[in-house]
Amino acid sequence: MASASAGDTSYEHAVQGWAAHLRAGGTTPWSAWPRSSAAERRDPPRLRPLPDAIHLELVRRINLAAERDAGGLVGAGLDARGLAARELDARGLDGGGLAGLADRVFATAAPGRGLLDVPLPWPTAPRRFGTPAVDPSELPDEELIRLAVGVLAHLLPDVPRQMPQELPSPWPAPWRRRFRLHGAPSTVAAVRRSLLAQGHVETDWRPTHVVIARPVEVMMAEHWSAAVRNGGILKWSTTWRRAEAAGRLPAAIDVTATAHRLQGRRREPLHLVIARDADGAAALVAHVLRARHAEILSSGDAALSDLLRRLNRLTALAHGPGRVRDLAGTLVALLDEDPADAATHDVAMLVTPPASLPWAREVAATAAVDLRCAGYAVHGDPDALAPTEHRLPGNVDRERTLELAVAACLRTWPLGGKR
Amino acid sequence: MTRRVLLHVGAPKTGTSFVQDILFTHREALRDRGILYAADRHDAHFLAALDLMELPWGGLEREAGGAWERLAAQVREWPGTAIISHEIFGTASRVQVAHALDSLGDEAEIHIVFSARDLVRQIPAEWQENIKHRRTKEYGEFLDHLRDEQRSSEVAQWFWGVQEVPDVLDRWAESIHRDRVHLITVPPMGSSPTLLWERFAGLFGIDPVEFAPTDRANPSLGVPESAVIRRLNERLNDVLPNHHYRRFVRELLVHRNLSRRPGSARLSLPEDAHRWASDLGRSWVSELALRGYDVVGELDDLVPGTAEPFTDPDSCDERLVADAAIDALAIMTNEAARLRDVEIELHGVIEDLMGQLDRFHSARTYKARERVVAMSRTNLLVRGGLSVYRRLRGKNSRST
Repeated sequence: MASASAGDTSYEHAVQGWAAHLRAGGTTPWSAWPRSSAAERRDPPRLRPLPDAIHLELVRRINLAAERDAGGLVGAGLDARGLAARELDARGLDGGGLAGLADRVFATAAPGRGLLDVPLPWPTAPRRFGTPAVDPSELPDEELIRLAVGVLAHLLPDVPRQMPQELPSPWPAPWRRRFRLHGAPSTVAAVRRSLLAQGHVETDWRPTHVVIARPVEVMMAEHWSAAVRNGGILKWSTTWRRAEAAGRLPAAIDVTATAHRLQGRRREPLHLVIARDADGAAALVAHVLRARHAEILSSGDAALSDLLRRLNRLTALAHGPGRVRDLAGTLVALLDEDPADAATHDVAMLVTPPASLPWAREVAATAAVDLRCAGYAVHGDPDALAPTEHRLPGNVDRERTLELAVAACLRTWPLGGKR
Repeated sequence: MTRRVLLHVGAPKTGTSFVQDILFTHREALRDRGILYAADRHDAHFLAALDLMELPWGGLEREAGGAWERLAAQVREWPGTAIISHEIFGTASRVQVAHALDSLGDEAEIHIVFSARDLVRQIPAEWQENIKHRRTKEYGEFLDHLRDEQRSSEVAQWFWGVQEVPDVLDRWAESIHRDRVHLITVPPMGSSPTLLWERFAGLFGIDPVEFAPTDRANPSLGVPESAVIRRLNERLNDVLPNHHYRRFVRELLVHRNLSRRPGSARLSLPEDAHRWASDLGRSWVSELALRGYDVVGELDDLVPGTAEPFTDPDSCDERLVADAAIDALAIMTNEAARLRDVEIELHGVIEDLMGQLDRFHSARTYKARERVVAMSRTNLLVRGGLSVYRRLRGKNSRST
């Protein structure tokens, strides 16, 4: 189907009509939008510049997500629309709120490179120049994510930053153990929280060093996640390519190098814990330190890391490099507010990009041999370092990244955007 | 006095670098004549463009925060003619254009300037520009991307974003009267070397003789040299940081050396691509003729010329590639030796400074003061005395 040529008033009128419908919280797709109905005859507010397919579709996805969010609380047989409206209202996302968010989206330019001013399909003379028309429902997720990240970069600076909740102060337990954890960052953080909550102490004074190792792709995913939370901007595949080019794993997850560095310290015993899953690692650490084993969950949504690295790139430019970590932290805190949200999703595990799989195998095999031969106290099977064999693309699921980006827009708007 | 803003928004590879160089070099003299080119560094307007469009650019964007607003503020305050010029403005979306025009002030008389060259010359030039920016795509694949009607690749989105003359002007000039939209055409090959500058200068209200071009140019690579750089990118992309790439590959190898190698075949289009690009170029010329813009030069300058002999950089003579690669290796070896000499010289300077420091530390007075400070750690009386001394002296010193 062709797109409208410049100055086609019927096209503009239809787009303005659809935009007004979306501003009011509507979710009708463009393909079902009546071309000659009452909706077209109304005199909608004139938006300038005329929104393109990416802007309009992102607003529609936001409305759909808002409706879904509110609808989740609506019981069967009740007045679903009424309850949904009340629930949206309670969240500051009533019709007016959604219109404000829609206006924010329309006023935001999609940052970076990508499709430019994508027109909507329209059955008149084709436009001979410019980006070809695309049905909004068929737009690549990448384009919608790009715009959503632009919107987030505008909204996040106004969101009040919530300080992370401190763990309850542990009893100064006489049986507490001194430890120092190293290795896979997210697993280390989860195990550390569990140990500190039991009253054990992480210290540099005569600690028991525990190096936690997991399969290389899991450690890389945790390293990537930690890096983007600190302002990193690299893609998952680039992180692998860089490591491969450097010929070694990043320092934090290079468990053999870490063990080598810590070996032989007086009154500082060293243990290596190797497990395929986080809870297995926690159990082994608890065993080593004679602590209580508290169950921990595998953490880290790859899509969140993907969203963060995109955001970091933009916030460095829009708000200065000094604010990148801060704004990333705000977004993480917002999306972490509702852990049930993450739990209800089947979060796909990141796998090694196929191009890096041979190198990952080699690194894991070399490390396994080193760990076996070096005489460390190893708990677990060094072969568990091997990457998962797969025939997957080794990418982050963009659909999930978009879902998170839309959720983040909805959560951010009532907190910061309405100011 | 009317505030005039001349906003030059592209296209790349149409002499924009040399125009910006003249404007930057002579900005003080131009200011005296009532023309503002507000820039405190050579790439100030490039940074403003990155900021306006929130474009990542190999880490340079980190220096661009607020650059557009700063530039716009200077332009708003200037009572005469102000010129803003960068070729990547061409890829701004309508939302970005609206923001840019708004921020230049309501009462300003805004003129959009676009310089254009025929598509048959632009396509090879853009591929080479890609290669100079670390891309590794082969020429054939690049051409396929450009011919993909859906523009699904980033390469195509960028290329058409900055080069599709009718669309760039649709986006930038939607709200501007056509009399204030100026299309400067790049003269065909064989024209006077100063003709393009005369066209720019005439539009800007600058004397083209008084402010003559310097020798700064953005030269193009030959075919084997392009192949060398593309392959070098494949090797370096994951290991060499951008700031080193810019200095050693783009500046040293490409701009200062390989682009000046004589005798290499120039890049052109294969026959079928030439036909396609010529047809497209002619359709643009027809469209532009209908729009009534102010054309500086001739619209026919944009009609592609006849096809030139084509040498494929994806499968060119390996001996020529090896020859260019050896030259590159020689250049890099010389540079490594030069830097090694600098390093040795700096080591000499450091050793000299260390010697001076040692002599200072071995002086009797210094040693005596060191002893007092050491004693103050264990002797309360000395510590008290030292404290009183420091208070009287009026500043704290950790060294004595």
